[in-house]
Amino acid sequence: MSAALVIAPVSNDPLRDWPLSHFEQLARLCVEQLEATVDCVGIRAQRVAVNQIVRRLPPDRVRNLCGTMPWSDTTELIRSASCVVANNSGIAHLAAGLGVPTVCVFGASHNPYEWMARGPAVITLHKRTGCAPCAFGQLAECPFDKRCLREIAPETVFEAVRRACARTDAPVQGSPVHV
Amino acid sequence: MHPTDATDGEEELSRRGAMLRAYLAGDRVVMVGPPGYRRELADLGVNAAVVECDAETRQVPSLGLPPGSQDAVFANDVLACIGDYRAAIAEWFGTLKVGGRLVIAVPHQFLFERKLFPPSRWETQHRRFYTTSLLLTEIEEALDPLSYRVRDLTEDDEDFDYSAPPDQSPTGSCDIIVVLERMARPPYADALLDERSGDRATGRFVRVPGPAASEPVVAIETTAGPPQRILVLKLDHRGDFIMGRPAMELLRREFPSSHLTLVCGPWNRADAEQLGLFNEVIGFAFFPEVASHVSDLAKEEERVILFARHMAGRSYDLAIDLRVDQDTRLLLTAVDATQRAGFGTAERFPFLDIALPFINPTVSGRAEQRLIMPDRFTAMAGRHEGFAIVNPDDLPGKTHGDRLIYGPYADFEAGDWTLEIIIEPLASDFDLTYDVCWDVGSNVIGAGILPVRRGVRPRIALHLEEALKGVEIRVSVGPSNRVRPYRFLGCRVGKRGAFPALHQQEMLVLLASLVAHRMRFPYQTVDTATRLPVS
Repeated sequence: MSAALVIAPVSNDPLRDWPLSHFEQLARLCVEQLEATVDCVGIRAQRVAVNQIVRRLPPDRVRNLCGTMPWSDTTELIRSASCVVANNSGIAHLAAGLGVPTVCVFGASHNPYEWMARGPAVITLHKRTGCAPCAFGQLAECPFDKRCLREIAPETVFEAVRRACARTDAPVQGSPVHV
Repeated sequence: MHPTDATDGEEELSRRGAMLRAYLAGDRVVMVGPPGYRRELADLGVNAAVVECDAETRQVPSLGLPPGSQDAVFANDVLACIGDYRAAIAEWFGTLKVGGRLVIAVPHQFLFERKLFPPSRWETQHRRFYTTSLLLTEIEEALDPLSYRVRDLTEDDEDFDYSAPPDQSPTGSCDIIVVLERMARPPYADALLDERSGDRATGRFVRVPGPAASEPVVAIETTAGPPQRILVLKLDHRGDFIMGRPAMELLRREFPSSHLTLVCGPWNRADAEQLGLFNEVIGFAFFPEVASHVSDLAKEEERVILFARHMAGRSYDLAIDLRVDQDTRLLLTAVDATQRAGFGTAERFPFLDIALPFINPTVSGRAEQRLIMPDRFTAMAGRHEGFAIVNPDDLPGKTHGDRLIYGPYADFEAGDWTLEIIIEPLASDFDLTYDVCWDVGSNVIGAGILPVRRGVRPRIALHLEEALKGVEIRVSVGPSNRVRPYRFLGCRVGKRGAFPALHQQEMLVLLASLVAHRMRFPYQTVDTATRLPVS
């Protein structure tokens, strides 16, 4: 089984971001066990941070595309992906709305039942910490080291990716879905 | 590709030669590259070991050198031939001592290749073309940004013949040469690279121990397709039925291929059949036909049982109660349905999977939710640890009513509030008590038992007729006089909101729209560890 994954590891709010080291481990698992290619997307300002994900991974399998393509090209890349992994961010909503299998790693700042991405093939992963939902607006407010996201293991997300890639009951990928 | 003036002694050096002589200094220098460059280094007086790559494939063998052992490494015209450039750069760099230099020379796309895309006109082994930016991009991907500095960077076009057309072999220098110096990583490097560390809470940071069984990672997953069998309850009177028609039409429009069953008062049955929206219409008299008449019907609970008997043997993917008033809602429990939808809160009707909470619209004010942190509270036992109040020990000698925690003297608007006191056991479960008061304890507005149990956080309802200032929440020893170790993480408070009045018809359409939207991509929540559904 080989898959073309797109991951959007950085949102516009650090409170919502799954750790980069977790994304790195996830990408490694996807490369090694799914024979996947992994494209990291984001804006130019996120490129240096995303290098931490790709640094120890083979460049022919894992690419840092941050800042290299306009939104329209990013949309096309996502439309053709086997699976998209994102934080609680615009890319998750975009992928879900396009009907692309989507795995969203969702922190405790918001209630996922109110804010999660909706679509025909979405898996939202959420740790039910005692402090959730905190409704904090900035990472600096969190006294718990963002454990709501840190304690979602890469293996758990990988299993969700595997399930998402294996789904056969979703509509044809890339077909527009209005949500 | 790299014509170099042979240099002797004080003879003037080419730009490339000057760079190599300057940066490849030291006793331990190694050059990685294709055969034929030994002479160049020897002529420059550089004493380098040479690791030659394969002449045909340009595959580079591992250097096999200990980390941190070299004064300089020169990667000469090989990077373009290597697939895993990240690993190659990292290996070369890793062999350097602190202060050592990595010199990388690559062919310039617009001097040597003179082509927009690979393959190369001149070297079929070149996998990638380079500009300065692309070379630095690869370096930034490969190396920890706090481990090196760029000391030199040049696009060497010395003696390059710009008049020669691209399809002629280039003459003169046509490389990009970059020089990196290995730095000692500063002590703050790891913290800086820990993403967004500058935004991390500081000073009062508390690390809560690892995952607890009461805090599962759940997966909220889209489930298969729209509902095939839908039951609609519209049991009220003629006017109500007419007002419900737009919502019924909406349901048929949104679920064109589903089997729709309507249960309505027998007096509306003929009209319902004429609508042509439903595959089946069932009459059931939950109310008397004329509301003001004295009912000879059974009691409400008995009617629910009657309805259950009426609907026995039928099953539905979805059952919707299209009545705003809440008196028919229990009928949904009498139906075999996978999902149930209706007006009301999950608190009052926990069996509702899709609940539209139109509660008490006469209580005005906006909804609120906030977390009150433990630092707003005073600890009479235990201690503040970061943002938590922790009591690590049993507290013998305490008696019922002894105060343990109090605060936060917060202001509350009028309205319906819910309060969660977030306190969890560090050993075994036990019970405390709480009370909520104002005016220094003289007016108690809520009190009760506070179970301290893993995974249990009772919600305390408070109805405030008027705004209160300085509300105090107090946690005290319970009737058993036992206090076990605990951790207090603050209180979450929420206030229900309200809205201007909506027409009944509008409310029914909103519920039908909500159901249609939810069922377009229905979902279920499962525990990722067990794959069992959770609510």
